[in-house]
Parts: sequence; structure tokens; C-alpha cells
Amino acid sequence: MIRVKVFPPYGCDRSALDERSWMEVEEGSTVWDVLKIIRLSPLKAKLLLMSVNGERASPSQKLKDGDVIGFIAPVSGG
Amino acid sequence: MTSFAGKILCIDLTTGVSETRSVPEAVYEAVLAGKGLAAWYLYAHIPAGADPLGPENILCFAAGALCGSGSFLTGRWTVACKSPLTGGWGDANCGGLFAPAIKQCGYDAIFVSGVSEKPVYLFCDGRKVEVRDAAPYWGLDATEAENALHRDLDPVCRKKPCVACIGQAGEKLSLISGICNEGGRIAARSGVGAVMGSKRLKAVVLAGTKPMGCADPEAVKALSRELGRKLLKMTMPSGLGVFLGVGGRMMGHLPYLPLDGSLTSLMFKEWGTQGNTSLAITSGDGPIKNWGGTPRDVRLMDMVYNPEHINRIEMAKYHCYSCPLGCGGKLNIRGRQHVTFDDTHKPEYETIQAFGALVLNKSRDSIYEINELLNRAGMDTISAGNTVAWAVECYEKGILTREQTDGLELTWGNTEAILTLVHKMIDREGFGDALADGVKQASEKFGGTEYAMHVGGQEPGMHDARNDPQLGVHYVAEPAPGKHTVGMGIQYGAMSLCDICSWAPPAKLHSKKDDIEDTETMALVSKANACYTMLTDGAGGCYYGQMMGVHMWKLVDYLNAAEGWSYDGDHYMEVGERIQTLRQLFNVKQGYDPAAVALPRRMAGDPPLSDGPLKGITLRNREQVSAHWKAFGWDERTGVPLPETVARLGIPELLSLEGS
Repeated sequence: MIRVKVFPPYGCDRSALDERSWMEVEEGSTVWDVLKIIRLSPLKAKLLLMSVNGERASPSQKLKDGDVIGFIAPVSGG
Repeated sequence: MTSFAGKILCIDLTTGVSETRSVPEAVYEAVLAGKGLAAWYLYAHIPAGADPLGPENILCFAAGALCGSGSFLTGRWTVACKSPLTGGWGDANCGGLFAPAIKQCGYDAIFVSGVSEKPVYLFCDGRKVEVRDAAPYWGLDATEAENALHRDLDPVCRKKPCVACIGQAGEKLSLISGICNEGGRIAARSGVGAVMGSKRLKAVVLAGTKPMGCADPEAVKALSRELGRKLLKMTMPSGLGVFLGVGGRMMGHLPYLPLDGSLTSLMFKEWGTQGNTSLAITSGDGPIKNWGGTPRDVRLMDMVYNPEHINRIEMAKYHCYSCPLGCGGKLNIRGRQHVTFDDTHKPEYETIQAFGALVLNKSRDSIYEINELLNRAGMDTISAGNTVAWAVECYEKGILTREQTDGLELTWGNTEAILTLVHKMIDREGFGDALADGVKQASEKFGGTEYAMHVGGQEPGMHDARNDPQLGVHYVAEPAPGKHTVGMGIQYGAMSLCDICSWAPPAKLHSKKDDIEDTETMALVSKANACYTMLTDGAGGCYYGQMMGVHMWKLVDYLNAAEGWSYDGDHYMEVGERIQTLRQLFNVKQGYDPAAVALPRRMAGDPPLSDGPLKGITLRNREQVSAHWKAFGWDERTGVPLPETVARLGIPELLSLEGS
């Protein structure tokens, strides 16, 4: 098993995440596997500029231990 | 070799005597450099009760620990002193090239005490330190002075010098004045410009060429390569700015989510901070109509301040030292309405909001002019905007008469009148004279104190605590009150501090109402936020690096690599805690009463707004501040650090260390 950190957008299923937003998935899992767990469609994920470790990612990308999966969300600052 | 220079320059302008002092290594281990080094020195050397505008006050220019190490997003310089605006700790920070210039002269910081009889500037090239006559430059605005100094000194220096200087506002001791570099980029807050003006110090000119060190350059480079590669690849489809107003409307009604902070860099890369404006106007983040309005008062203004409009006239982007992000830009503004300049820096969000929605001004062009005027004068746009908004509200309510405003029709959104008032504030002419010292002083003179939005004497940044109650905690509890850069709930959710700090609570999906509670968890969130910001300041880091989150901008790894240490995140968070506690001790020593500082009733939602995303919200700010102090180990009623906390942080030992 590997651990990945996921920041699902609003409305997704977070039940597989621990309180620090980490989840365990099988070794060799892809981003698509995580999308299925959090119940987010690949189209929505693409529109929300899905990234792994800050780099734009596709659903077929293989994950490794410690990866951080994120989606763009409005944040204020400046 | 570490990234610390190991030395500070101390100069007394009364006598003209300068001295280089070595700093014990234990000081750097305890508080790093930047704001931490400033706190260590200023606590010990500014006597209790010192006049902020007198010779006993000391003005510090400091580079951060990581500056020059090869790390990214660590080129900020800090100015610190006793603030004439609040009577307590004052600081401001800025980007540009001045931070490495301090280090290239062989110092981590420069401390200026005393008062010169005549206008002078300080010149240092790492070999000699000279106090020189500044008569030819006194009276010039900051950009003119910088250009004139370059004209006179570039040909005789080994390298192009870096200049930090004051404009007319600092010379005229405006309590809301700052210190500029790079053609009007300003360390704006706390009235640091007035302190420099009171010393008759027009500029600090640095032309050193000394190398800057690092314990493990390869490890630092590897971290920077990794970050740079990611940032380079990060791009956004163009034109998305038009949707930000809609995004803000959604944001105003959704609960808070933990976020992937790395993606905030997309916004700063694409638009700079002005990308926040549309979002802020519609979400409740940005104050409207002197903090008393709602998005209904500024309908369609999110389109006026849509960042794509501003990007369209951007001539070039620019970066601070060691920054791969590049949120800055120069705009071509020639020939626009209200505009007398050819170009200006891309206005920051704070400036646009303070002179846009806060005063119901719909003229984007006038903001460019005000931006350039205030940058050149060296006046804080946040404080100036809050002060103008107070004046407009007082005029509308009949507290100020037309005679008092020198005939100005100071109505909401009256662009011409607002522009004229800005000129008057810069020149300290007529009605503008009283306003040049900020809203607290102006309201005490003219009345309307209930409409004067300040916290402990300093005007707040353009983020509404009713939208983000954590921000309200920092506005009040921060030793330099009113600053918006210490912590926010929404940013906490983007930083993932729980992954480097064992006691930092994980960010969770939660409603905005949860943020109003004075629970121990919320207090630990605000404490963690403040500690990490102090750590960032000690390192000379950028808040936008911080916002990217600990998985992207690896501050702990950077510090270990650059200094040859192997500490964990908990250790570094304690460094931040020590810096914050030292700054609060400075306040206590100076007679500043933390318990007397409070949010203005309006800012706390008393009474609550009856419309918009902030409808019905009343903060429990005093209770939250008390919980925050308790989490810090400070007295929960008075805000004074408890003796056991001071001892636990080793502050007595730290203060017993003297530079030699």
C-alpha cells in the first residue's frame, strides 16, 4: 500500500481520507483510482486543473508514496 | 559556512560613528535573521518609553536567513523599529533586490540610531561605510531620489547600488509612510517611513559585492530545481479572470475546504495579487464602503476590476530576487483618464480594494494614478485608503463639512475629490495634513471615531474578518496590529502545516460559523499560523511561497540545507514562537497594552450586516484572542507572555547574548 494526500473539491466523498487528508491505495494505483474513491468524474477533475505534486496530471498517471493530489479552488490573499 | 553573514552594522546618525558587530551563532539558531534578528536587537537596545520619532528609536534593515543561499522565494527584506503609529513593535517588509544587497555588504542587518542634523544618506559597499550629504535628494519623491542616486553613484561604484529611500511622506513624518526600493515598491506598514524621516535619513545605498554563503549549496539547488520545474510547468488557460467574480460568489457561500496550496501559484503567476480583487468583491473577503457595505453596493465592480483588464496593459512582468513566480509587473498607463504618469507598477490587490470598493470608486484609471502617486510619495495605500474612506463616510454623514474638507465634495465614488485628497495628504496641505497621520489621529481631531477603522492605531488590510474570523484574531493579537499578513483561516487550509508540525491541527472541511468559536483547536490554528509566518519572516521568505504549502515550498528542508542543521518542523515552529513572543515582550517593555487593542465594532459585526455573504455574522473576537494568547503561553487576559513561557523559549539566555 502507498499513502497519498488528496484535496477533493467541494461535494466529493471524503470518507476514505484520514483527518490529515491522506489515504491508502494499492501500489501501482493511478489518479483514476483515486478519482473513483472520492467520486469525481475525470471531466470535472480536468476542468479543476487536477495536479499531482503541483504538476498538471492525467487520470492514467501512476501514483507513488507521498504524492499530493490537488484541484484548483478560489483562495484569497494578497 | 552557513547562509548567515554573522555580522551586523550599527550606525549612530547623531555622532556619525559606525561599528561592525559579530552576532553569536546561538542568536541565529534561536531566531534566524530578518524579523527575528531585529527583535533580538531592538528589544535590548531601544529603551522603554523611547520617542518613536526621536534619536533613541532604532531603524533596522534586515535580510532573511535564506537570502543568498540559492533558495527560492526568500528575497524579502524587513524594516523594523518602534512604530509611531501604534507605539509598539513596528515592521514592514518588501521584495526587490535590497535583501541580497545587505548581505553582499557583509551584514545580516543594518541598525540605524540617532538623528542627523541635516539630511543624509548612508552609503556602504562592504569596504567603507559613509554618512553622506543628501541635500540634493531631499524633497524628491522616492523614484526620483532613487534615479538621482543611480545617476550620481552608478559610474563610481563597482556594481549598480541598491537604494532604499523615503519619499515626501516620510520626509514630512507622515505616520502612514513607508520605505521604497525599485522605483516605488514599498515596505509600507507601521509608519517606518516616518522613523526614517525623523532621522533625516533619505536613503540607504548598498553596493557590496561580497559572496553569500550556504552550508550545502547542492542540496539547496536540488530543492530549488524541483520547485522551479513545477512552477515553470504551471500555466492556466488565459481569460479565466472573467470568472473570478462568479467564483467569489460561490466562495462566499461554501464552507472552507482544505486546499492544495501549490495551485495558488497559478493565480500569482498569471495576475499577481490583483487577481484577488474580483473574488474579494463578491465573496465578502474585501471590505466595501468603509467596511459597512455589501456586494450589493458595488454591483458589477468585480467586472471593472477584473484582472484581465489590468493584464492587458501590462508591459512586462518582473520577479523579486530568488523568485521564480514573478507576481509583479509594469503597466503602460500613458494617456489614460486621470493619469499623469507613463507607467506604474501593477497595483497590488490591497491598493485596488482600498481605493476601489472601499470608497465605491469605479475608475480603474484613477487607481493607476493613485498607485503611482503613493508609491512615489512612499505612503501606505492600505492606511491611506482606510483614511480616505473614513473621510468620505464622515462627509456623507455630515460630521465633516465642506469647509473642513477645503471645498472637496467627498461623496462616495467621487473620483476627482478622492484624487485631490490624496495629493493633499502627500503634500500635508490643508485638510490632507491631518489625514496624513492615519485614521486614528484624523478621527480624534474631527470626530467620527466610530467610522475610523483601525486596530491599535493601524489601519487593517483589505480582508474582512467577518469572512475569515482567524484574520480578526491576528489583526488584534499580532504585536504589530492590523496586519493581514500573519494568518488567515483560508490560507491555513492551503499550507498543510500539520504535515511538518506535530501540534498544528489538520485543516478540515468546516462551515464559516465554526471559525467563530473560541475552541482550543481554533487557538492552535491561529498559533500555528503566526509561528509559521514568523519563521518565514526570519528566513526572509515570501508569503506566497508559504501559501503554496509545505509540500511545495519546503522551508524546513531549505533551512536545514542552507545552515547545516537537521532540525524538524517542531523545532522551527518553536523558532517562530520565540520570535513572536520576543516581539510581544518588546510591546510590553514599551508600555503597549495588548488588552486595549480591539477590532472596531463594525469590523466585528456589531451590529451584523443585513445583506450579502457576511449577513448576520458577529465575531467573538475577544474570546478568540484570549484563547490565542493562552495557546501561546501568554496571559489570556492581558496578552503578556508568562514567565514560564519566556523561560521555556530560552529568551533570558538569548537576550544575555551581546553582539561584539
